[in-house]
Amino acid sequence: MKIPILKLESYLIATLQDSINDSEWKQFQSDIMMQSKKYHISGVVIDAGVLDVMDSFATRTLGMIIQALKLLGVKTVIAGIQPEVAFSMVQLGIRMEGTLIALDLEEAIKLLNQILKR
Amino acid sequence: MTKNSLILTEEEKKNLKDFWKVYEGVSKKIQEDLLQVVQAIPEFASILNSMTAEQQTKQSKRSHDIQQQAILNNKWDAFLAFQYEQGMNYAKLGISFNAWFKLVNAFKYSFLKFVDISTFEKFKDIVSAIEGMTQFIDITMGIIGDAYIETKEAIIKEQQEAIKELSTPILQMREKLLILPIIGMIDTYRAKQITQDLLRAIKTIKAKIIVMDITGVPIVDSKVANHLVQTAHAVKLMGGKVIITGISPEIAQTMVTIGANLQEIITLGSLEDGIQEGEQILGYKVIHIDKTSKSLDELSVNV
Repeated sequence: MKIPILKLESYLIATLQDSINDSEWKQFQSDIMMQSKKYHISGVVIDAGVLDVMDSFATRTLGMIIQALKLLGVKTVIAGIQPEVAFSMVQLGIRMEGTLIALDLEEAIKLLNQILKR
Repeated sequence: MTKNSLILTEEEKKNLKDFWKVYEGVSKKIQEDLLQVVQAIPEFASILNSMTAEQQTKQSKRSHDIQQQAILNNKWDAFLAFQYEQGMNYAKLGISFNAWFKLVNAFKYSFLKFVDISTFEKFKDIVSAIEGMTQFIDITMGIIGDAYIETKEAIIKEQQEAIKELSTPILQMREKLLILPIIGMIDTYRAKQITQDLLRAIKTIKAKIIVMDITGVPIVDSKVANHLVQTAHAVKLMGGKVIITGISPEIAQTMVTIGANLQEIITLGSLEDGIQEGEQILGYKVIHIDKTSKSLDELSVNV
């Protein structure tokens, strides 16, 4: 299933789905890059609220997407990581250092507004 | 409790029967002898004195019948259940294992004292009867020991649960500001529990800042420090921030010595400072109201 990407003013909002496979991740990466360029996006929110696992592959891929977006001058915020997911991530030693993280979508938008001075 | 079952060899059964034959003859005397021993052990004496004479006879009659059933008819279930119950009671009443051993020892001596060796035809029979007695005591002690330990363990577990529930309250100080006072030792299990509870609280309360006060944590070693760091990282993954307070000078030094990686965590001296810092991050400002001022209206103008 394709990961839906919504546009809200100059932000993009992507909601990750459960059990995303490799090709879907690739598709997602190129989609979000294309759209960011096309709409002159300044901030992206990736909502991970549905995920019940976040393994090292997902984290690495997300990290790459965030890095790539950064090259386009786009700030990315990860939102909605579930308590159980956060706990198992820490246990696995996944840190997501240097990544912007917010509790939920609302907080993520607030954070972006704050960073981008809106 | 019928989970305990007993399988005996033919020889063991015979020994036990030989023992019983001898015991039947002297049981009255042994009972009297033991009564004195029991009175001398304070732990048992108080129990015995709380029972009426009638109850005592009834109890010893019941015990005797059950023993007889077990040894002569090889029906051990009732006996094992009875002894298990005894063991449980001893554990609950706080009778020491040592006291119970004293009683058993007294039984052994008493038995040997009253047995009339001249009644035996062969030496082999004496050995058999004594073997039977040892066997009997071993079985009894085994089952009582099991019951004793299991009961104690159950009590410990219950208390652990109680401590667990008491130990980590998560308090909401302001909107988005939580306080987590940690008191007592942190082990891996507890650290897990605290982290999970905290993460859930963050989700439901939508908290952003967590002030974790470790004034009540006596020892911080590399393991504990690691737990704290892990908790802080988990909180970060939920979009929150941890402020650790209450680090004593000693703990601060140990943390530096063991090289705990606390770089990403804000650490402050006292809980007060921590709360202040948290409020500042969230945009609160606490103002001290001077009571000598004339009116509140005047104050709000100043603010």
